Amino acid sequence: MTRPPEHLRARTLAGLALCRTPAPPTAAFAAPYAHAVAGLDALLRDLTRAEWATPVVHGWDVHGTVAHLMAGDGLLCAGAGTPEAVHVPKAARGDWGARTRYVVAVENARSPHATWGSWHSQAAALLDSDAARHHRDIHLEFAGRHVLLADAYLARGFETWLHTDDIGRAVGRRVPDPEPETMPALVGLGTATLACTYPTPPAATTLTLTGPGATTTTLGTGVSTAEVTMTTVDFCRLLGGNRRAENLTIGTDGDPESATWLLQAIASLAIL
Amino acid sequence: MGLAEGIADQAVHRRLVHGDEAVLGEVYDAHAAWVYGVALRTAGDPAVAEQVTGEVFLRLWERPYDFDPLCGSLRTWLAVRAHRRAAARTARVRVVGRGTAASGDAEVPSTAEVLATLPVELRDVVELAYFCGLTYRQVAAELSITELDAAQRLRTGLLMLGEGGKPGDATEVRL
Repeated sequence: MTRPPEHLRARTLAGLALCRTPAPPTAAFAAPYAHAVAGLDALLRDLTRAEWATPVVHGWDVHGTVAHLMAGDGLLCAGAGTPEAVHVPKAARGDWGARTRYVVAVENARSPHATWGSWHSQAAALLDSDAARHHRDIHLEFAGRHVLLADAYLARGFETWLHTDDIGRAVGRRVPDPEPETMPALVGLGTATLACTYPTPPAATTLTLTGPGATTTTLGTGVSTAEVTMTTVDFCRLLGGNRRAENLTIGTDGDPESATWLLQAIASLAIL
Repeated sequence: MGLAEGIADQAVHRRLVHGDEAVLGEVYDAHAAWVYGVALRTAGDPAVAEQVTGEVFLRLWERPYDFDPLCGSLRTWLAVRAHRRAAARTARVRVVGRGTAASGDAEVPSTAEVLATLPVELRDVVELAYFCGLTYRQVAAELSITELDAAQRLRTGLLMLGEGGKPGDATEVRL
């Protein structure tokens, strides 16, 4: 086999950062966000003008979905000490829905590429900040809850991944799952969200999640009457409203009513 | 494409999408000789082969969604891109070199131009066999199709290539 000249390797790799910015090193809690931002940025590079107008979720096209992500990311800026891309009026600042509506409306008056640039600059600043590299005792109001900034980074990684997947499916690109080593944190966020918002079940039910970040948790008290099994990735998809239960491979065992009730409870959260 | 290769390609794709810069060095080390060989065989010029090899790897980094690991192996994707770039570069050099040649020459399409008109399922087979030097058995394995299918597609593709302008020499294909 003919080998390329030795100098070609170094020359090729030296051009890497000029073509596309690599994900910056961060603390573990911000890694899913760093990966998802890199993944969405790469996906947006691929899109034609027509694809930017493709319907994605919640009545938004690709442009609107990126604006929605930018609105959510903006909640972290004050805590991280980075500039927010859009100045949101005080009345809409803490209200998740109002904030998104305001930012999407502002961005609709701009070009998709301008919105993409603003979203990426804001995300890059959040990832380059000291707050993304070190765990600090900083709290903020996030989606109606008082949370640690580190947990908010994790939540942004969760949402950016799933909305990138929403966009990918809308425009026909296959978006990969998160890195296996980041799944335990993403699953932990999901099960914690489920545990604090889950209504009292009619009977205790066991949720078994398989794959990277595998875990088993029982919801409700007493002896478990049913078991629901799915992969950790599918659990996140179902919880985020990215997929419907009927489109996932889910195993159920025991009392059918309890199993169905659990699945409906997870899907009804549709936290994104 | 074998199962282990498919799983490895999926992991590479995931890391490329997620902006892991270390993965490009790993991909380069695994496939550079193969990519360079394809480019050199197509262009016949080490300088063009070198340039094409660098461009193919950087394109993979810049546009990772162009490669879908569930639609074929990374090895095949890289080879096909290397061949197309090298062929296009060589065709451009020919056109520039032709200068004020007789107008009749300009109407003869290059192999790259004719290849581009073939249906994708034929084009991939022809490129891998005719330009990347794979046997039809290797082509079948690369594209996850049967050997009979690979042989038939290759025959049809070469016939269409011949009819499109520049005749393909089927005897050069290693069966």
